[in-house]
Amino acid sequence: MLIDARTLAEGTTIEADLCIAGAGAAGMTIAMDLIGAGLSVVLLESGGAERDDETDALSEGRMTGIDTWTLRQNRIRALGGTTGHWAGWCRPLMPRDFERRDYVPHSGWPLKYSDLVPFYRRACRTLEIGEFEWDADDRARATGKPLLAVSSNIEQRYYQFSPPTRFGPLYGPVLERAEDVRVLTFANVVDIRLDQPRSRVESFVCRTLKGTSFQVHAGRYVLALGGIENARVLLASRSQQPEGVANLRDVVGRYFMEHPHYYRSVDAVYASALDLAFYRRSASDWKRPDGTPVQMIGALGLSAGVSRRERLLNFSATFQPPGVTGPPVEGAPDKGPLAPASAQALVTRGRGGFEASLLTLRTEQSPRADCRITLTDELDALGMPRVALDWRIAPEDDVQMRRAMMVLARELGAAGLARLRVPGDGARFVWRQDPGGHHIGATRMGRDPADSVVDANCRTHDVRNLYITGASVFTTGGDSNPTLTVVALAHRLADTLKSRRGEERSSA
Amino acid sequence: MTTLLRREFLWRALAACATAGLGPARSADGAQSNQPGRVPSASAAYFGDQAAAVRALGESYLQLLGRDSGGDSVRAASRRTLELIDRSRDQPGAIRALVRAVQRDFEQGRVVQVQGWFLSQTEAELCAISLLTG
Repeated sequence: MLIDARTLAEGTTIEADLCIAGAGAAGMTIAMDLIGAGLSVVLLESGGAERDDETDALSEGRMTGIDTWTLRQNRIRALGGTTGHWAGWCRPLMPRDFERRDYVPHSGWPLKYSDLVPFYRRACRTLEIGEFEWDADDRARATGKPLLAVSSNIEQRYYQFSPPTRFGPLYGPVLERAEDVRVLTFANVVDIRLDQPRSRVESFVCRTLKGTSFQVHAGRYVLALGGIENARVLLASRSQQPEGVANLRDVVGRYFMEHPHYYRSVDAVYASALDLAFYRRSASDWKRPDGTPVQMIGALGLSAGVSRRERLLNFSATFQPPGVTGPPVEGAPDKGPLAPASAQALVTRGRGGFEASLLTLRTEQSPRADCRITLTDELDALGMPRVALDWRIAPEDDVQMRRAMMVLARELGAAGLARLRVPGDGARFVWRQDPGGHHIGATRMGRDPADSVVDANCRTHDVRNLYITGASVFTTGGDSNPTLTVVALAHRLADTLKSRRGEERSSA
Repeated sequence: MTTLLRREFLWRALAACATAGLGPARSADGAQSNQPGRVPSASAAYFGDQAAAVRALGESYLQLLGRDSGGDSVRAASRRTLELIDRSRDQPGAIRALVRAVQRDFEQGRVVQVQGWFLSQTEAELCAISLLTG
């Protein structure tokens, strides 16, 4: 059932077993999984079926660190959330991404990769990609596209592409038809009210831009508002306690991470005879039910052993099409032409043609407590404080990434395949990071409430009937695009909620 | 190959600079020669006769070491590679040895960054050697 919250009578109270705030990839996945589960579900969405400026403006805020993007541009307040504009890149986090690494502070999920595999398989279907198979050798054989002949220090990887699945148009009608799910559009959570011992949520206080106020009273609650809004709503819910909700230890909003993307920083020069078909976006051997092939693109990273030995964050490198140079990098020294004759001399030694392209790096960022979302004094049209995001890249991350490029260059050089160039000869890269639009970690998962907000089941440490999901619960971000993992975690949380039926009214 | 023959080969290789009428060259041990020759230098041969293209890299490499671009500086900075050439039987052998050395450099982490490029130590020295023919 679909209800426009602007049509509700002022002061309405809606009762449900479960209230999910946010109808993006995570929230809609949970709601879909709970159809027919015997629970009455309310799904709240800030926008409607389509984007509108007034609603999107609620996402505005200040960037106080790296400001190469705005808080509004990467987010969509409409049914389906950011799946309305995502590009469809899918790859799971890797087993190593879940492990504790002594050189990455605050690393180590309370989950193992294997815990998520069954849910990753479901997420593959939800996102309309091929099988949950990630062995590049197998894929190379199946597609007939050879892998680069490199040592085992290099890990060959690939991404699958979702069509991309637009959750709003695809799954919205399914939810609309569901008898046990009520989807309330134009409904914004503006406060989370707790019971007297403040250990349970009593209600979500909601408001529409038209000015209608109402509340949802449920047994359990899920925040699935996106990586920034999850933290914002918790911090802004300070009507009963100044630190907000689920924030007794001042962790909410901290450890924010992105996937710094480097589109213009690494030149690669290689012989034109090099077969890079596996590393170009092209059809895989999988087909969707309608017969369209699932597309894929190969990438290079470093093996787990090398990463650990060299103490490196994770990254994946893909080849851009030959000759793409991109605009100059502001603040970086002029590197000169992409492939001067010297590059040709180095790579081909004058024997045959050569090509040059840029590598795109998708990189991991280390979690840092001072990289954070806070509230400002400025209010949006609902009276909610806008956020300030202090996103920075730690100098150590830059140094690690430079070292990672050197290792990659060594491996490609030893294999006689390519030479790499990065700007700057010093210890630190001078290059420009672009965001991936991935908002990670601000309500992170962990065992210790001192540096995490939710436990392994996505339940907040402080509030027993409040769950959070989305990329904000990632303990660390790896380098993989997050949507596949977001949807896998949502499937897992849906199962948790089903298995804990009866918890709704319990005070335990 | 006798020491004399090896020196002869190296001398002939380095003497390539004279082919362009650019003046005398010195062998690795510093002995000056005015012998003209038509044999391409090992560096030029390695780079497929594109030695001119890597001279700028050679200059940058020397700057990185705090050296000027003079012949003595080049020879001092590239001693290891010059010795490798010197030990080779002939030019094809020298090229093969250089290719192996470059691969070993990369495998063993002997990498330098010149003008942003990650080069093997041997490559960087070859770039510097190319200055001898310029």
